[in-house]
Amino acid sequence: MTCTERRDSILLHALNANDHDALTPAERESIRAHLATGCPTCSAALAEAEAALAQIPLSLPVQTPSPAVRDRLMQRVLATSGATRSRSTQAGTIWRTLTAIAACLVAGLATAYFVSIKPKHEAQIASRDAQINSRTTQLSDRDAKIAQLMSQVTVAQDTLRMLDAENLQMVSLNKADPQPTARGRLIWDRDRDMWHISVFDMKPPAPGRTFELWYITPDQRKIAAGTFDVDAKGNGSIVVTIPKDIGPVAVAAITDEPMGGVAVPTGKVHILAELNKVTN
Amino acid sequence: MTAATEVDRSRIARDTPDDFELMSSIAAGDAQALKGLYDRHAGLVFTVCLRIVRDRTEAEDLLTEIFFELWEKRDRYNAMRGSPVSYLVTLSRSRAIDRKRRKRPIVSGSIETVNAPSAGPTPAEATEAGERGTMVNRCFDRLDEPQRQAIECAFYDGLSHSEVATKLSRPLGTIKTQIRSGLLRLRECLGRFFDSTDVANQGDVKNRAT
Repeated sequence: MTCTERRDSILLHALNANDHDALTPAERESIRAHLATGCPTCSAALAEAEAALAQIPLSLPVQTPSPAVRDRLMQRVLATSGATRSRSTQAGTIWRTLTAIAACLVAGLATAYFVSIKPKHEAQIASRDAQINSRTTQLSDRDAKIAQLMSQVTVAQDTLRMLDAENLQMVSLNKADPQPTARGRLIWDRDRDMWHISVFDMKPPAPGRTFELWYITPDQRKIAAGTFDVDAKGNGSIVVTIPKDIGPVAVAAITDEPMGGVAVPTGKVHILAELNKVTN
Repeated sequence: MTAATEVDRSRIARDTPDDFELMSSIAAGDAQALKGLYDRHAGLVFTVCLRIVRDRTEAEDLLTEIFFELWEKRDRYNAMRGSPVSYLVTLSRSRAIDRKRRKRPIVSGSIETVNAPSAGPTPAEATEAGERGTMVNRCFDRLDEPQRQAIECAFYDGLSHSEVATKLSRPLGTIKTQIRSGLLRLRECLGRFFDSTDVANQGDVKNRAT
């Protein structure tokens, strides 16, 4: 069973995973085993199914619980947090007492030694600390630059390979409301089913968020394709390989999402390309 | 202009980024964030519980248990799996069905008697809930009545297909077809209306005949 074929069965699985009538035992086990592999297509299908089922109760008139429920809940939450803090406080007090006694003994034995050489040691330690911090910062910066360069090299290599392909198409990306000046292009390697997407003049997403690319099929499935960021000039790019089992792709869309990306789109569309009008 | 684009989508409060931020804060141990999430979604969770257990006191008890479980096991939620609302509704349905199965079944009582007058939602909540409810009911209107009954039995009562067939006095094969075809139609319809981005809208407006 392909992931596309599994999508409808996943919907029944989400309704009742233990229903022996909805799916055969083999189908149920196949779905469980496949989801356990972390397949992104099927994980997205499960998230889509649960999201659809979660809307069913919206057809009911909303009922309001009594205000006392909220108070009971918060009292219980705070009581649990308070009990944890109380136990920690008692244990901390005992440890602090023991630590104080030990510190007095050590201080008494070492007083003479530290009075004579302490200032000199402190100066040496401070100097070495400063050197270590400086070197650590330099190393971190270099690591970050190396990672950035490697990423750029990978994208450049992929781009070069794509330009060498025989069956290439270029599609312009159309900006949406949040991006008044954005431009973009999608280079489609038809033979290898790869996209190289470049965007320009994009306003960056809000702090803590990133851009995420989506494959959108003619039947409106939205499959996550990966995340990327733009530089200070608003330029960015991403290279992806279209999964074989999702079928034809009608739209490529980029939204802003929480850092790390999500399985189901939640943010606004910033830029997109309609592909159902692009012919071979 | 299609029905979906007539609605001012910016006023439909689905899982806004704030819900994800609240869940992150809850995971970090912020009790105020839990209170914020409760204020936002207690109505929905309570409605689900009340519909399933059909007893206001039980439903309020469940409401406390569900949000407390959310707090106690706050590292369990995974944003990659779906939105906080999906997580809450899925959790609520599961806990309420479990509670109902442990209790003696309520012999009498219709939805009308269970839905006793309450304090009522705030005006903003009523507007938001009303808009979302309208969209969902439009999707349900696309089902025929037998499909809707079968799905509601399976969803709210947690019944298997054969149990639904027994309850509604229909053949098992008919119930299987009704539930499957009804869910597929709902998924397609709800997916168009409730994508919180313009992703679906872009595709739909361009592809759907107006």
